[in-house]
Amino acid sequence: MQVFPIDAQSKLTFAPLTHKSMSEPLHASTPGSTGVHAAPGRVQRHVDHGDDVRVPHHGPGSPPPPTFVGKKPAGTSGRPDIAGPARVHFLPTEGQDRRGRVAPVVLGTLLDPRSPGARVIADLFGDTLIVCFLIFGLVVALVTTAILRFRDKGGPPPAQNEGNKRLEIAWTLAPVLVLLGIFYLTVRAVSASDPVPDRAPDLTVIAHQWWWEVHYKSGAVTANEIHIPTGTALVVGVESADVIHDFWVPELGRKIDAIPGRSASIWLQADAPGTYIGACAEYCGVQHAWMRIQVVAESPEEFAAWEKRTLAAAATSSAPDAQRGAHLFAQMTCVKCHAIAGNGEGANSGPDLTHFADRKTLGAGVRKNSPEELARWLKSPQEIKPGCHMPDVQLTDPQIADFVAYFETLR
Amino acid sequence: MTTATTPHVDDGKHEQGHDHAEEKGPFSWVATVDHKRIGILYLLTSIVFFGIGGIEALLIRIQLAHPESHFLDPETFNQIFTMHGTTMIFLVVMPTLVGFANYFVPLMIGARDMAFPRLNAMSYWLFPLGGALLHFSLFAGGAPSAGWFSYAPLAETPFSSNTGTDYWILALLVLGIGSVAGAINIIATVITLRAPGMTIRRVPLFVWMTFITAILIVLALPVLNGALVMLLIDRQLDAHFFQAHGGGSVILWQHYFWTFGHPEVYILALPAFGMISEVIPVFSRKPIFGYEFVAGSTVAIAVLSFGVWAHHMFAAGLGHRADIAFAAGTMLIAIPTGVKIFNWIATMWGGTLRFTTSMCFAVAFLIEFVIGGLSGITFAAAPVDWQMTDTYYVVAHFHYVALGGTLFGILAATYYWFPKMSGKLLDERLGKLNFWTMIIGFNMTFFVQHFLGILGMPRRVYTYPDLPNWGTLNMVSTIGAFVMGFSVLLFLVNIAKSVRNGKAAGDNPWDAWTLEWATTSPPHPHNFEKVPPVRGRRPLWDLANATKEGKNKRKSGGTSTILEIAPYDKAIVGVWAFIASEAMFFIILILTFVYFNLSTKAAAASLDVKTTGMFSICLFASSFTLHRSEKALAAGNESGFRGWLIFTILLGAVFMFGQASEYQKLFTSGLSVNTSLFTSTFFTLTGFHGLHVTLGLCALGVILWLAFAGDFKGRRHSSAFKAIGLYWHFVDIVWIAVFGIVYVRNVL
Repeated sequence: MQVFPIDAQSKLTFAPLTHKSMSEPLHASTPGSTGVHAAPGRVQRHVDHGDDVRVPHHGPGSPPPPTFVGKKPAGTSGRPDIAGPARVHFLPTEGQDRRGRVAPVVLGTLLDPRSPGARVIADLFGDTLIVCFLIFGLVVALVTTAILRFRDKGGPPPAQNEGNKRLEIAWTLAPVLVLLGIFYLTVRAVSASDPVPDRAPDLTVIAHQWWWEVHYKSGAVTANEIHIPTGTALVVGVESADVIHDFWVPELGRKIDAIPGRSASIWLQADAPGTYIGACAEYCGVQHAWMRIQVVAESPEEFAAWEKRTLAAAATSSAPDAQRGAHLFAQMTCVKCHAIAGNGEGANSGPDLTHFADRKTLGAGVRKNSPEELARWLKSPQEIKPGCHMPDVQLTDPQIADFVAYFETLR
Repeated sequence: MTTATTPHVDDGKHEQGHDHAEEKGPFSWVATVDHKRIGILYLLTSIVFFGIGGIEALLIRIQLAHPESHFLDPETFNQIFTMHGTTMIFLVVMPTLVGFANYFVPLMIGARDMAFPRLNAMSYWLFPLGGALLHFSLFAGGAPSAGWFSYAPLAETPFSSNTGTDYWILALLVLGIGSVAGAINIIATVITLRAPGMTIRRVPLFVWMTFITAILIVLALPVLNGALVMLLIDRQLDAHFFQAHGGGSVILWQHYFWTFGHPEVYILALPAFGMISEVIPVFSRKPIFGYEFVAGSTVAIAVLSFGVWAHHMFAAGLGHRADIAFAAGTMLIAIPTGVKIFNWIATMWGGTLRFTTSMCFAVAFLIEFVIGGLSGITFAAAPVDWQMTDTYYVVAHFHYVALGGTLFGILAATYYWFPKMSGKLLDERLGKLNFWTMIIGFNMTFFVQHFLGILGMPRRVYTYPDLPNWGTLNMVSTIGAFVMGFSVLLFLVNIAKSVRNGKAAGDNPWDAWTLEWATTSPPHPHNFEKVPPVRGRRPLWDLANATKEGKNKRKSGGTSTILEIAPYDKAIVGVWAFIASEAMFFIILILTFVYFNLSTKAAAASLDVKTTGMFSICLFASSFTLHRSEKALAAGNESGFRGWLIFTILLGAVFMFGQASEYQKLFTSGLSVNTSLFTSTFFTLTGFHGLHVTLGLCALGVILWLAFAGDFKGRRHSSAFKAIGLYWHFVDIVWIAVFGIVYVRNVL
């Protein structure tokens, strides 16, 4: 047996966890069961009492508090009111205490965990930082004292002290004790924040240069946007189609590399409804910056409705421009890369477009998904996302209008 | 093994064959083998690359100053950050530290020059060559853009099709060979050329740390070289070492790169620790507190640094057990580092502190480096790393280590040693301005990056969405970078100004106590008129205080260690260091072979074990004949010496003929490097062994030629011959391993 798996498939070998909800069915609604795979101990603290500063408590039935709330840009269609990352802002949601949000807004995403796993890591980070600040304070105090007390004021040379064995041993052992403490916290947090998945993935994310392909167990396919039901922990398989990428949604927990030739899996869960922004965290080539992903957490009912909608074939429209657009899509090179269920299937080197109009962003986060932006994108994707694999197809303006009309029907 | 007869203190000048004193004019700088001039060449060249790397840094910061910026296009941005990282590590920090080592190690140990002055010149000239190769990529289709650690498969041809990555590989190979040669030189110098009385426990800490760094270079760089060679074979010969689709392993590259990469962090840090350990005592008027602990903790760091590489790979998902093990190792390495910090503070404690610019940078180092070290501790807590790695938090972390640590150490050392190198003092007023602008600029640039990381900003993005606070923090960072840039300009102005009309420094402007201050500033070509007696760790202090303290007082570092028992021959020391380095290279190639072929014996069925076995016997026998040749030389039997030498060369040639015919057979049967992972690993391993045998044959050929030219007449000893002999035996031993693993295992 290898000491550590150099290239072994990510067969994680820890004892399976026994927390109840992990084996619960995907769509099961478990009211009040946020923190389902939380480890016992201090993590539970937040769940039980609601850590008011960091994690606003959202009971079931409370209004959905999306993490990112966008301003509705003028002139857009009436699709869900969550703008692309270009325009999102952390804003206190209705009913939330603004002061309570100060810490997360200032200190940010990692100290604003929205899942049990992320919370464990945030706690570990906080604890480690406290230790670090104490040590730093000690060093600064010692150096400052030395600077103030021992400045050269003339006079004879100081005592030529060459060392002190006892002191040396003391300041070797003291860090050992501190580090033992941190190590203990680390070991505890490793399995608490990243429990070993006990089943095959509920959905698989396949990273491509520079977008995310998403397949659900149910057969639903989407891209650059993951929908999950709140309060349920899903197992996400992470794979790569080309180079190494990294799946990371900071508020929801650890990042994991998507490595060609192997598959990893992690838990994904959100306490409360909202849109959580993630990104590829491993440098993967020219458009690494615009390989963003959104996790949309919604109530189990909404999620079920979304999944049902996504499983359906593409809508057809009787509007002539949309029909012309559908025809163009099948005729031109689009179908070589993109699939639309019912109008060209099988291709996956570009995102599946069957329910394109449902998505919030274009080009893995580079633009908000609106008819205007879509038209601009079709005109010249290389201008908006230079180097991406979508070529400038030299469409005429009428062709673009037909495409936009068609894609807008794909809900 | 070491029955050397060279005197303890070697007369470097004698062996160089020409007199330094006559060196004049620009060409003399090209032809120089004087360690001081080579040191200055290293430093000046580094400054040029520092300018390039610094401008790249400013371009990065301009692009990131505000969200969704279009100042640079993404491909250019990616090339720039790749070049910035590669340049700063390989073309700025490493050569700067080597430059200081070159200049000061011989002076501090009371030697006339490095052990191998010509090798030293070669090491230097490989550095501008490597730098030129790397930058030539700009004219050959674009700079590399896969990041400074060129993760496979992004760095493989399908995803990086321009030649940038090939130039990156070649440049790093050239620089790697130069660094290893330089490190071997430092090892041989420190072991063999110390002045009488300079026991290993009395050498200045800068020398100690440089020595340990040299050992790290000798052991770590070949790992990188091995991996680079395989990546190059992937790219140029279409093999699949690091490509999943051909059966190769993507993650193997990361293991190899970081096995080099983490020791590399200490290669960049240890010499700076050494500089701080010189500067703080001198400006505190006290000896270093706990010399043994500062030196010993360096050894601990060096050893541990080879066992923590996978903490760079926590996000890769190696499994919890591996993550916990490497987290533990990483925390361990913090302990010897912490010991040093406390020792430096204790050195200041109770001293009389003089706040020269040099001392200011040294004290700032203590604070800034601790910040980098402590954020390192947060990374050792693996789950925190799962969140924070590959974000701006890690960018902040390693810049606090590399700038707050190494750069501040280098600046402290420059203000400290510039007077020795130039004879002129640097301007203290400009120096203080340089110091404060650097402190402000540096912390402004990098401290806010911690927050950016916590906010979730990934590193290596050419732009970012307009999320709350991102724009502001990035703008602060960019302004800070320009303040730093201004500070660097002040530094350069200070140097230029002081070289022309700085205050004369005198021999020892700081009342320092190590040997470099016992000679003129700048030192004359042969360094010392007379090396002062060394009876403790601070020879000049001892000299000045001898009458006051009485001559019988016990001096520090008195006991001898194994390194003092016998004088060592520099050629033998050098070749052992070389063998260690080569062994690391072959270990990587052998490991790769084993890793890919452990489970598949069938692939090796195409090998003819019997025939190769016969040829192998020739090679093994050549070690024996070479031994007879050495014996004959020692006995004064010149014809026997020549005869056995010829026999050795013939046996080696027969072996090479065997390998060539084996290759011929394999090629005609349709097998080549890119056929399968077996052939890739087989040809790479045996090919590199063959190359080493060929080089050995060339060296033996030169010895034979010298023998016929009468060079060995009346000599019963030749360290060169002995050194080449050791190398030849090593090559044979490698073949025993290769033959056993590649061929014999197949038969069993």
